[in-house]
Amino acid sequence: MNNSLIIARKEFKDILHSGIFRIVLLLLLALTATSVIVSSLVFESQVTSYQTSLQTLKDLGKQPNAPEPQLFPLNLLRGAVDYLEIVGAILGILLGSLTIAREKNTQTLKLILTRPVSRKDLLFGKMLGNATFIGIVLVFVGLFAFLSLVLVAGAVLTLTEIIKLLLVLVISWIYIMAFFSLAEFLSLGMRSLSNALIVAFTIWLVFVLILPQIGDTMDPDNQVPGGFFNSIHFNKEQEKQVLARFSSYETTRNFIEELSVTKHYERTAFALLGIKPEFNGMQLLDILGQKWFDILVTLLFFAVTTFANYSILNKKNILLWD
Amino acid sequence: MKNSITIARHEIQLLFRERTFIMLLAVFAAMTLASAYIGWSSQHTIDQVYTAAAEQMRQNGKLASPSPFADYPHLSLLKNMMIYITLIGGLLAISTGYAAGMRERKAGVVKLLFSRPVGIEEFLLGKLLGIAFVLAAVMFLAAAISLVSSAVLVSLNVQDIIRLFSFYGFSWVYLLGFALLGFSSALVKDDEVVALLIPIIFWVAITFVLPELTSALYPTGSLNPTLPQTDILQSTTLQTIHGAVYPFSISEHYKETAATILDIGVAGTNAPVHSGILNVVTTFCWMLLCLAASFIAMQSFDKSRW
Repeated sequence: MNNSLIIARKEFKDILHSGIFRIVLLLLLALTATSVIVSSLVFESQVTSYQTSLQTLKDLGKQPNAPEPQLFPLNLLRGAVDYLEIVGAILGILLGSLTIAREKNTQTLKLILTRPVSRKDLLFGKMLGNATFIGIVLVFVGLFAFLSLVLVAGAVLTLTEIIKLLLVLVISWIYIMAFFSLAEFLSLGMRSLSNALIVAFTIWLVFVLILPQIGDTMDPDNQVPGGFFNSIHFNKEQEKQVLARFSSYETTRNFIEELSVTKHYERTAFALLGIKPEFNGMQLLDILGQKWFDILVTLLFFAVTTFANYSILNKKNILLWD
Repeated sequence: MKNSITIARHEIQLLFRERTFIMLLAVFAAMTLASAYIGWSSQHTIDQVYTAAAEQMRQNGKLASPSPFADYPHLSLLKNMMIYITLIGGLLAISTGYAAGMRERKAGVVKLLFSRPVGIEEFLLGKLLGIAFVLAAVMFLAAAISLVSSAVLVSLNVQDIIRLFSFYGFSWVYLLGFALLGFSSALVKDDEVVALLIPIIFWVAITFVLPELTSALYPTGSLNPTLPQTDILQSTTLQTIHGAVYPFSISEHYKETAATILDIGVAGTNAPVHSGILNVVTTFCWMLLCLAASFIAMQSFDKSRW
């Protein structure tokens, strides 16, 4: 354990000395602030639009039937979750690749293993150092998101909302760590570092962007700007009745989406932040109860990539490239 | 010139032998093949969904509005390709340029190469020709796949075929910019991971961040060829941000032009957009800017170092 802690401390110091991570950290903070500012402006715009329509209706002597837009502060973090999905996974991949690159470039892995350091110590030390760094980045992102909500949107968060935000950060940490383990595994298993990095980016492309994109574009409601069912004034119940006739199509679409771990992470985060309206006002335990499968898949992805890492590090011939 | 052609030929041969390039190319080709089917399947289903919804409305005594999906242009099947070009194509182009810039460095033959009668300009021209040819071959392959897969699902006329090839030709210009960015970064950055990260950060910014600033689109919202409705006109601040950032939002200019070429509308954001010509000019400017970056990177390339 002591060895793991020494390796973890060394990892953490190396990451802090690497300039590129300051860039990625600043990028994530800037993206969080950007998404909160843009979402706040969009919400203000919706309120203005509602009030203009309300005045027009009043002038015509009619009563409005649409409810006034209501601010749920955590909803403003939707863009931030999107960026954690995309850039957070990139951060995980880079950390995973660099942790092995440092050993390969300096040819120090064999040397470390000649000391009384087990392969398990090495793996857990590296994971611990990087997990700490990712945790600190996420704490910064969370604090920045909180401050942006308070200062830009003028929102006051309740204790439950703060707990939901913290849970989103925890699930984000697991999600990013899964990509870290994936990149570490590929960098250990492949001779060329840049090839391993490109393979990791290709897997990232498929899981993070392509599979969710296919599911999204196959959604019948997404074929018209603003939603097809909205355009013909159908409510959720009527929409369900119509889509019930296309259950096999919807099942296929959902299956494609569910192949992506990112979609499971996104569904959990969106439910906790109340981005899907049905989760607004729902009890935290009920949300977690409904999203247990998505949480489980995210955890499994992390467990599988970590196990793969451990297995490959235990192979004797892994030192051949050293 | 002869040296340049030799370098270009060498570059082309090696790129098509690289496993990572082939893997990305296979993903791109598979998605190109799938895109026509995905487009056809979702279009076919939405037609049926509309019919079912209209029938339900009639049963409730309401009049159904005309189908918004009638008279789809043939090439609307390929609307997802605009997105795959910006996603997979962008990454493929970066990896092509990066590999071309990194090759001699990694093989440790830079000193040897420049000990021969090869000038920096010849080397650069050869590399650029190689990158441009490889990307052109990829676009031609994608065009052929799209042509065959679309022709199986709908009947295409000559105009459609011209539009399809023009779309891939224009996509080549857009992607060449990313390839040149990857190439420049590989020439000037010492650390190979950092050299790959820089063009990827540019790609993230161009594909996700700028569209969010200009059109208030959520980052993943801009992945749908049918954009979600975001009315930025009600907010003067959003309009101001749009005015300042939109000229630099290359991916939006690309998608708007691509939609025009394919004769499919991209509606939703209600934001003011450039005219067709200005979109094309901006995309060409992006490519030329990246070309200029390659020249600057080549000038600062230290031949004695690697």
